[in-house]
Amino acid sequence: MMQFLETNAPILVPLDGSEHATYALAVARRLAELLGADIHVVHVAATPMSPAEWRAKWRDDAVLSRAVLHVRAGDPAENILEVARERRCGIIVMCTHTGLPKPEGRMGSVADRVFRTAPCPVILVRPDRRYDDWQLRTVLLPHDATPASALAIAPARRLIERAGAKMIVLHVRDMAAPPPQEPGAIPPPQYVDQAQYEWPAWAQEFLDRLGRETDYAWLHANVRLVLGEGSPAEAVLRTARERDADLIACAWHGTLDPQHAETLKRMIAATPCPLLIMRV
Amino acid sequence: MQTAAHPPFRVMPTGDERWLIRETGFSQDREHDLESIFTVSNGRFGVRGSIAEGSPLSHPATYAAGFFRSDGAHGRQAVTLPNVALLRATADGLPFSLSTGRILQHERVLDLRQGLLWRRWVHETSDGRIAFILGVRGASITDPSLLFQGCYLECHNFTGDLLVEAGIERLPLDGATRMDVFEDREQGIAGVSLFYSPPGKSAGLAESAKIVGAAGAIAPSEFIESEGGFHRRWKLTARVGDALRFERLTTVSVTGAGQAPAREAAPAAAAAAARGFDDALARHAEEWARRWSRADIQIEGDDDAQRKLRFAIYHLLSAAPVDEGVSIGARALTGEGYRGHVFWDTEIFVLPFYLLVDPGAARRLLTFRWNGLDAARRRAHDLGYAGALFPWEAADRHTDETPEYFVSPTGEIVPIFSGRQEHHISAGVAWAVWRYWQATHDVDFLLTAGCEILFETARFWASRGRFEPDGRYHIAGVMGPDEYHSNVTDDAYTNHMARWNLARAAEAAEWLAGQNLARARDLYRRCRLSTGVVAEWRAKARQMADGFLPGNLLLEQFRGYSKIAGGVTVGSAPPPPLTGRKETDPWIKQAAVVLLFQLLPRDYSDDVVAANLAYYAPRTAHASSLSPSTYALVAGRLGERALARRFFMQAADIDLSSRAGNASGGVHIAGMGGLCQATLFGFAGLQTEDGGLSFRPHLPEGWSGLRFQVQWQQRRVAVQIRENGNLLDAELVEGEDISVSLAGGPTVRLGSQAGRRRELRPFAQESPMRPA
Repeated sequence: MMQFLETNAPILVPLDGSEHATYALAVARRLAELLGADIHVVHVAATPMSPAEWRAKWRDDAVLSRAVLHVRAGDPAENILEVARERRCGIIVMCTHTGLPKPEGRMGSVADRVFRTAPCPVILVRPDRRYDDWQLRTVLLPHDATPASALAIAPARRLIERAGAKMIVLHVRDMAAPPPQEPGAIPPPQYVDQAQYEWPAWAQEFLDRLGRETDYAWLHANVRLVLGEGSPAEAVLRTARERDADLIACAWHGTLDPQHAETLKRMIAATPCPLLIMRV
Repeated sequence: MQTAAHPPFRVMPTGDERWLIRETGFSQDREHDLESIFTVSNGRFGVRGSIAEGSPLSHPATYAAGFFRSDGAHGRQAVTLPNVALLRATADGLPFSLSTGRILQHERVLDLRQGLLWRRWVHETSDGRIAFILGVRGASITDPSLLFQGCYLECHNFTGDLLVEAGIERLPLDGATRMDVFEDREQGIAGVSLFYSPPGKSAGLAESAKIVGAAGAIAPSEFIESEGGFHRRWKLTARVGDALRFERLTTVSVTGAGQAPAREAAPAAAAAAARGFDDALARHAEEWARRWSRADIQIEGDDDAQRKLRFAIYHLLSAAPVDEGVSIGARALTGEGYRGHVFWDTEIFVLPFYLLVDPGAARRLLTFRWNGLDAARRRAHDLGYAGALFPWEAADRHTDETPEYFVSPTGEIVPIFSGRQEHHISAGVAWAVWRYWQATHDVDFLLTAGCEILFETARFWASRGRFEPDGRYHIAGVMGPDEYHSNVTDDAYTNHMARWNLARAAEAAEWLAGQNLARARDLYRRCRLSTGVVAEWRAKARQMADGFLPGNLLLEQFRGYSKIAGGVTVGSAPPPPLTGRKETDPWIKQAAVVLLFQLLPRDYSDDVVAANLAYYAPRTAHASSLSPSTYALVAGRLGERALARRFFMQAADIDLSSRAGNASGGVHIAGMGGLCQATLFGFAGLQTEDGGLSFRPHLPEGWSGLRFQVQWQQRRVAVQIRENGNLLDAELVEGEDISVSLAGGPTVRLGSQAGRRRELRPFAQESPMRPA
């Protein structure tokens, strides 16, 4: 079931009280502007801070400005997910981890549980940098050539239309993996009788099948198809860096089989920009 | 209205699954692929198998053989003619559409036996109105200008207003510079004229369309002209159980350059309508049955392979040109892929099938090359050579249409070397001429066109290479069928085919010199032949560097290949590259040396074939749709039964599999020709010779028998291979005596004296052939 990026639906930002957690807020605020959404902040702790303690901790009003605060006691992930469901949130924006860096760039346990079971798309933000000046100009959409993956195009389009951004669709040909078996998948052709016709024809067909999920005129005017080779995660990260992507928007099949899990983990660990994960 | 007579059409769908390609349900995932697969074509026109009412991914184009337009700097482009099968219906304002309401049943069935595309559809509109729909369409093979489409609709559970809409509609960016629409209400004919650049190119489409209920024909109530063409509308009141039948007969003309081509096409549409829809349908189905009686290859023991082989034969029969001077593009008339251009594939992979079932079609293909001989001479001259060099990519003007470069999906500009270096195409055309001559003894063709093609291509090869100090004749700066390596010297495929071309031209010149006909003498003079010229061709053929590595049976693919040939891991062939490959890469794109064993089977002994197959198989990426069938053929010849079947199925799945992913621009017609060749020349072990046929069957794993007919030198022989290849039943069906042998056993005669039918069993182990 595709999770849609609903406009006007609240954007949820979990804050655990750390400075790092607030980095996600800058991204959330820009998205809220674009989508016309409200910000809801959820704070969960064994002993939650009181409103007075919140105000004392963050003298900077920007943190809580125009935000609705939810304070909960108990398990952080469970409570974040509960608020997301209760408030029918459209996106959860959160840091991959707070506090000390995790080995091999892994996510914190809370973020890990939230993104796996969230009822809406999740944007993960690395705490390596602040995003105060974050703008959405270029969205990178990795696409594994399957119809399921193509479902991410429509919600991503909503975002980029509002931001006036452009979209790069990246397909990575992974030599080490068998081609996708999903019916309707359009991996690069097995037969290239004459390269001058086969490759452009493949690119056209790839976009046509993608266009089925949105509309062709918009697609051809706003989307650039890029083909990469090698490890999918590394190709996505490299392309994101080379093309100054502001957001990587991924369709996720919701399974964590070893191959997909490794790709996703690697992208989460090293993404140079916020990473939007939409379960399809 | 009341219920129309049953069954809905005089011809109804075939019931045997071995004759059907079926797609059940509806998903747009592969719609472009399916449109290609389901194309109906008659060699003059092709209509893609699109959903009649359209879908967001539909590309319902029509194509005409040999009909190109200018596309500015991009050269010649096959014209995309309008959608001639547009048909929509609504019940009380709600559409019968796959994207609304509920699909209760939906399937499209390509009926290979009858050359028809069927569509069975039971649909419930969003307010619960259910209709049973049976659609049929075809491209008439009894009247090649005629396309027909029928649709039977039965109101299952509703009474109300039906609106039916049909028309001819152009596709976006079709390149037409002007359009005229006309309607002749009295005749019930309407049409569209389209004009293209350069001026003088035009197409006319005219249709008779009517709806018939139990009370007779119902006239359309509206005619609407639009920017894209026209629509006719029928407004009807239907009751539960009522049935109606939509009948459309469309004629297309692209030959005239008149001012109103649609009006010129109209009388034929009116005449077809007067004969009736069922008449067109029935005559078409009868003619398909007749064609299949000569062209079918029946496989015993493997229904999956049978269905796929018939799918290939269906498209080959559908593609066979009916007009002189047109050829078959890489995707036939099933899509716009390859811009409709004609490559070497047509002569090497497609034409041999026609030689055995429809030699007239083979002659028409060669006439296309004959028409291009002057352009080929100019091309050779412009490059500094003598004779004729045929274009790598040909369209209607016979100039080379190969682009210099293309932009890859990674954004890189990639140079294209095939147009500049794949000169082997000239030998391929000569090979096809010679094979046609052997198959038909068509002296008229040889004197009109064939000899001159042989001589001019030989002249090209005589100027293309040079003698080097080793005393051998070498050809440098070419690319063979292996397009992973460019600018090579002594490409084995090119050299061997050039050698063969020179030798056959010399043979033809000597034959010509021996003819007493004035026409022959004129030709000899006109072609500037002499004993000196013939001696030169023979010498260069004799001294051609053949690439045999010293001390073994291996043919080196090109000079120096053996030095880079190591370093491959078996089974790790890389996928097709995006931007070309390093010249030092050992991987070979497709069968190249191994293809020689398909084309010139008598020139190589089995031990040479076996050694080279074993050497090149692990180094070949099969990144061309032409490659698997060649490997199937050669593996079959050697009796590698498991390997043969694996490659056969790989070739058979090129378009039908959802994983190859590139049938959207049309089917791979050459791969289909290769599949038939693999079956006949590889598995049946058919070898043709003057006055006879020999067989050395090696059936693939799981196949117990084969049945087919072979047309050879004005004779037709029905062949049955049974008992896993140990019994051959041959019957002379047509023509004079012919000799037949099985597996090196004694030759027997079939004919009036000896009896027209004989059973043969292998006599003894045959002796292996040695290299020429």
